[in-house]
Order: sequence, then C-alpha cells, then structure tokens
Amino acid sequence: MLSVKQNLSKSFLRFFPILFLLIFFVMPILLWIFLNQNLFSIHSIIHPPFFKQFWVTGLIALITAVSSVVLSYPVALLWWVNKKTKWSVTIVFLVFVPIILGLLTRNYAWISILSYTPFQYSFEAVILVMLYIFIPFAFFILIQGFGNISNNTLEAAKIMGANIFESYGKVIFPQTLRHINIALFFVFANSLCYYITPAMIGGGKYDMIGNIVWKYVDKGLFAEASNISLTFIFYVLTIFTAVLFFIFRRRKNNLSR
Amino acid sequence: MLAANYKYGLIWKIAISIFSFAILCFLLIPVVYIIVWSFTGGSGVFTLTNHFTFHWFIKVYSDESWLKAITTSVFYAITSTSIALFLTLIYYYYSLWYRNYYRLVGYAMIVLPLFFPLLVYALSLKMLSARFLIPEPASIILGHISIIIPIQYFILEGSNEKIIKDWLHSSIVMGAKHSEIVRKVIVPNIAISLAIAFACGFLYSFDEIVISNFIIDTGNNTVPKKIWLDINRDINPSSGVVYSTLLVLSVLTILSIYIILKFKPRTAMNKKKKRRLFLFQDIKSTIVSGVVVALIDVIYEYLAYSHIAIWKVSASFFTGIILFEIGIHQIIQIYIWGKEIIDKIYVYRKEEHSKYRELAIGLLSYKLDKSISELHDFFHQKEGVSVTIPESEKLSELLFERNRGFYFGTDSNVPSKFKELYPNYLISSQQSKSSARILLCDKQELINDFTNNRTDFMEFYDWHIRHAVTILTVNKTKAYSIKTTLQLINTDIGIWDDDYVVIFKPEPPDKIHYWFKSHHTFEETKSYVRFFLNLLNEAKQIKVVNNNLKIESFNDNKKAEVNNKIKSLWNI
Repeated sequence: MLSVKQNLSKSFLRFFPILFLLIFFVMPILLWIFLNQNLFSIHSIIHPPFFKQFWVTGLIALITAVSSVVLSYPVALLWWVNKKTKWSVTIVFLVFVPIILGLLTRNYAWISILSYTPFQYSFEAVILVMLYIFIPFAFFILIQGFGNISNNTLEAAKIMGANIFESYGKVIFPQTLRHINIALFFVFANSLCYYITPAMIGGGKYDMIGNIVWKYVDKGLFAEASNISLTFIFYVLTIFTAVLFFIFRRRKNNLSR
Repeated sequence: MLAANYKYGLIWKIAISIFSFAILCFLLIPVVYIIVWSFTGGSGVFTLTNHFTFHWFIKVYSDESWLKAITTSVFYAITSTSIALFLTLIYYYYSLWYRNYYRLVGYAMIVLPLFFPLLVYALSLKMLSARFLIPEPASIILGHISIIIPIQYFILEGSNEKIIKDWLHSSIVMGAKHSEIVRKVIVPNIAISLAIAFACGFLYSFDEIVISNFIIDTGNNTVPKKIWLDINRDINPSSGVVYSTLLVLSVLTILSIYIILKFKPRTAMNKKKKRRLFLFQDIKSTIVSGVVVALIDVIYEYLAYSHIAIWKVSASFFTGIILFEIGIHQIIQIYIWGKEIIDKIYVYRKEEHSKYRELAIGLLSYKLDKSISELHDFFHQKEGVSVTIPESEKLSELLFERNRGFYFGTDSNVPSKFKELYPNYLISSQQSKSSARILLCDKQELINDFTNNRTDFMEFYDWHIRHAVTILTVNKTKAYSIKTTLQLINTDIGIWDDDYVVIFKPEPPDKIHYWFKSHHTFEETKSYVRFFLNLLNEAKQIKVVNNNLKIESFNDNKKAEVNNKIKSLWNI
C-alpha cells in the first residue's frame, strides 16, 4: 500500500492549473514585453505620453476604489448582522443581480437615466457608474472577511463592557481590515484599465489610458499601443510593488514588536 | 449601561439598514430600467413609450446577427467555464494536500490575473495570437479561462470548511484513487459552490468585453462586442432584451435549484424511487445521447469553420437520439450495469471504511508516514521521541484542526512572546469549542507585557475571546512544582483531544528538535489530569476591561463548567 506522500507524488495532474496559467497568462505578457523592449525608453518614463490621461486614470481609479469600499462596507456589515437569517441571501442576491445584466447594458441604462440630470457626460457621471460597477465586487470581497468573524464576538465585546461603537470600531473593523485592503487593491487595479465605461459615460471627454490604447489598437497601430502600455505597466507595477513592500514591512514590524 | 448600549445598537442597526437600503436601490434602479426599457423602449433614443410590447424580443430572436452573437457567446462561456472549473477543481483538491511551495506558487499564479491590468493582458494575447497564428476562438477561450480561474477558486475556497481532512486521509488509506476522492468526497460536499462557480464563470465570460474586443477581427462577434460596435449605429433595447432574458433564466435556474434542494429526498433509496417514478431512464438517456452528439458537433463546427448553424446543431441532436436507439443504448446499458456493480463495491467499501474509520483517523491524524507497528512503537516510547519542527507544527495544528475534543493547556510564555514564537497559530488555528489556556506567568510579567506590548497582547487576547478560550493565570512556583512532581522537564504541558497529552520542548541550543511525549495509558493520563485540575482550581482569569488589565477570580460557574467537562472526559 502506498503512503499518502508516495501516492501524492505520483499525481502529476496537480501541476496542470499552474502550468496553464504560466503558459497562457504569464508567458504572453513576458513575450510581449520581450518583443517590445526596444519601445521602452527612459524618456517615455520621464515624459510619459498622454500625461493627462495618466493622471485622470489614477484619479478615477483611486476615487472609485476608496468610495466603492466605503459604500459597500455598511451593506456587508448588514449582511453579517443578518448572517443567520434569510435576509443575508436576499442581500447577496440583490447585489448580484446587476452583475447578471452585463456591463454595456448597465452603461446604457445609466446613460439614459443620467440624461434626465445635468450630470450627463461629466466626470461625476463616470465616477458614479464606475462605483456602480465595482460596489458589488467590493461587497463580495468584504463579506469573505466578515464571514470569518463569529457573531459571538460582538456579544463577547458587549460583555466586556464595550459599547456598540467600540465593539464595531475595535473588534469588528480590525478583523476586516485585511479584506478592506484586498478590496481596495482589487478595485484600484481593475478600474485602472477600464475604458468601456469612461468612453460611454464620459462621452469621450474623460479618456483613461485604456481608451488611448484601444484607439491605437483599433487603428492597427500596435507599436504605439505597446509603448503606452509598457510605460503604464511600469508605473503600475512600481506602485503595486511599493504598496506590497509597505504592507509586508508593516506586517513584519508588527510581528517583531 | 446595558440599556444605553442596546439603544445605541438599535440606532446603529437602523442607520446601517437605511444606508444599505439606499445602496441596494442605487444598484437596482438600472436593472429595473433595463427590464422596463426592453418592453416599452423606442428605437434610436433612450425614451420609454406607453406601450407594452414584445417587439424587441421578436426582433432580437429573429435577427440572424443577434442569434449568431448569442450562440458564439454561449459557446465561449460554456467551453471556457467548463475547462476553467476543471482546472480550478484540480488545484483546489491538491491544495488541500499540499501546504508549502505548491500552494504558495499556485496561489500567486491564481491571484495574479485578478490584479494584473486586463487591458495589457488582452494586448499581449492579441500580439501572441497574431504572431503564432493561434485561431481566434482558441485565443478567446484561453484568455477567458485565465481570468475565470481566480474567480472560481475564491468561490470554492469559501467552502473549505465543508471538507474534513480526515475524510481525505481515510479515503486514501482505504485505497481510493484521487479521481474517486474528487468524485465521491469533494464534489458532493461542495456541489453548491461548484454550481455557483460555474454560474459566475459563465456570466463573466458571457459579459467579457476587453479580451473579445482586442481579439475578434473576423466578425464572429460576441454579444458584448456586438453591443459595443452598435453604439455608434443605433441605440435600441436589443441589448436589454438579451440581458433581461439572461436575468430571467438565471432567476429561474436559482429557483429551480432552490426547489430541488428543498424537496430533495432524504435518503439514497428514496432518491432512486423518485427518479424512477418521475423520469423514465430511457428518455433521460436518449436526451443525454442527443446532447452529447450535438455538443461534439458544435465544438467541431466551431473549431473547423468558426461558425455554428442552429439547424446543424438540431440535426446533430436528433442524430444522437437515433444513434442511441440503434446502438448506443446497448453500450449505455452495459455502462449502467457496470456502474451498479461499482456502486455496490463502493457501498461495501464504505461499510468497511466506517468499520475501520476510527482506527484510521487515530493513525492518520498524525500525518506521519509510518506503518502501524512503527506507530505503535512510536507511542510506547517512554522517553518520548524527537520530531522535527515541521512534524511538531503539524501535530499541533492537527490537534486543533480536528476540533473533536477540547483543549486545556498551559503555556509559559507571555502573550507577546507566544505571538512571536507561533505567529501562524493565531492566524490559522480555529478553536470553536469552549476551552481554557493557563499562562504560567507571574502577575508582574503579565502587567509588564500588557504595558509594553499592548498590540501583541491584545491580538493574543482577542483571538482567545473570539474562540471562546478562557485565559487564566496561576501561581508560577506552584505550577513548576507540579511539573517537578510529574517529572516533566519541559516548559509547557497540555491536554488535547480527550486522551493524549502532548508536550513540546525546544532542545537548546539549536532549537531544531522538539520533544514529543504521549501519556498513552489511561491511568497515566488520569493522574496527570488530577494535577491539572488542582492547578485549575487556583487559577485566576485574565480580562481586559476598558483598556485595563484585570486579573480577577475565575468565575465560579465557568470554573465548574470546565471542571465538569474535564472530569466527565476522564471519568474522575
């Protein structure tokens, strides 16, 4: 009879998912970078093309990330409070329904609804619809965090003499902090490359980097599209690395204290 | 004080409910608008008319280009979601076994697509497919699979608690293959999560626009790509019609699943009876045969010609039915016969399994690849056995993970020191049953730790409160005298899992080896427990109230509860 370890070592199937992502996700990106490395220059880093769009992209992504987490947090909290009742399923379903309707159709609906307001084709409208798209994602990430907290925690905090605000502020909130960070990071990373919504809702006035890249691809100008994307990815990866470094450093400091 | 808290709590709850209601309304307004627009919308403008009409539904479902787009999207969605779910399930299953590099590398690979800019990936995929002449459908499916896997993995990961690792160990020991474990243990237990993962993957792929927009050049548009191209031509409720249909289908599917689950027969026997009553085996097999042949034809047609004709699919379906009638029926009968025999063998093995389950758990729980005789010797060594750090970590982790019994233990570290020595413990361990931990520290040591390392102390303290583990402290001198009496030369003592005493001790100076000892005999354990109870009776409880450390008498009721629990376990 084979031992557990011996039995497992024979199962090469386990590498399939990792190999798949390595070949079809990582390799295309590396190859693309390798093939276009001559387009990448110090000059384009110091003086990035479409500097205004870089700025607009970062701003929209940041506002969207922070606001969607702030707005979805109370809904996730309500879900947690009603976790053992049927309301929790209802809340999840209601948040999930907009996702079924599709991105473009939702954008259509918002163009139509906003046509009755003075905000049509404005910066505020872009932010509003971006929030609409990302609130469900932030919600689903946050409820993963809330799901790990036992409802007894609140009871325990109350018994220990904490009032309701202290209970939430000092007991519940710190336990969801990790998922808040994940949601922030996820929404920020994904909204950075959105170009459909800004193009439709902003009426072409608030182009993000994605729009510029798409316009070049649409015209068959792949070298230019790659140049902008490479500069963009350089900045994005630098920021992400810095954020990750900061998080790990802080975590390490906390542990070593 | 309590009344005031309750009042604030009510106000707080109402405020959150109102705010959440507003957010939910914000999320649902466009949904309602789209549905209304599909039935009353006019052409060319975003206006609603007063007439309820199916005009747009008829228009969409009789328009060749829309039907083609829907078929293409459904094909991409089903193919990519199915492959992605298969790969995700493989990784999910093996990540239950592997904890180190495999899990780390796999997790990094899975998380990467979630946080990497999709636009850049789409661009690189486009260039790669152009350079290596990868067919358009293959590029889209590969792209969709890569971005669906993370979503599906996180959905499956949420159902981790439904899989008890002892089942996996027992199955392996009883000779089950990995494929059998996946089919008969994993899939039935996480069936709902799998269905949700499939649904989410399907919706994500169906609605995916970035990759489709970059890759599609041949005119075989998906639904989102078609809507995107139609933006500048004509804006009408057609897209609303497609997604309203999808919404209705999704709701119907969810309702069907709910009804099936609600009225699901309780036993396997009833289930079999019901199936025979309501659905004839032949009709079911005939339809399955038709669907399989039609599916094969769809995949072939699409890969060969990048085009699917509805009439051809229908013809394939009927061909499948005829084939079934003339020949496959016999093959299926043989398969059913074979399956019944396998089921019988499985039932027999299951009975055998339950017979030896307790034994298997006892042995396997220790995750040490040793034969029975070796394990016997292992537990009977009076002087204990040296185990490596990973083994001792596994033992400790396992005893908590199993969660069958209670933990009553001592620890000679102050909270911050404990957190420094076992950082993973507070993150991964899940103790859900009421337990107690005695700290063998002086009162002054605890006060100093609370003052100087408040954050670490509170993290340790919060974890214990959260997991209903009462933290106690005892007179250090007395505790150490008991250890001397028992000839326990180690630093920590503890009772785990109802019948074992497991002890760890670092061996200076290199701290590479830990000490492991089992008070294997019942009497030995019992005598140890008596000493432990003496220690417990003089214990004081550690509390943090209003940011102040309080070491007060151990609540009599709680003390009695813990005492009774321990006494009942060992029949003292």
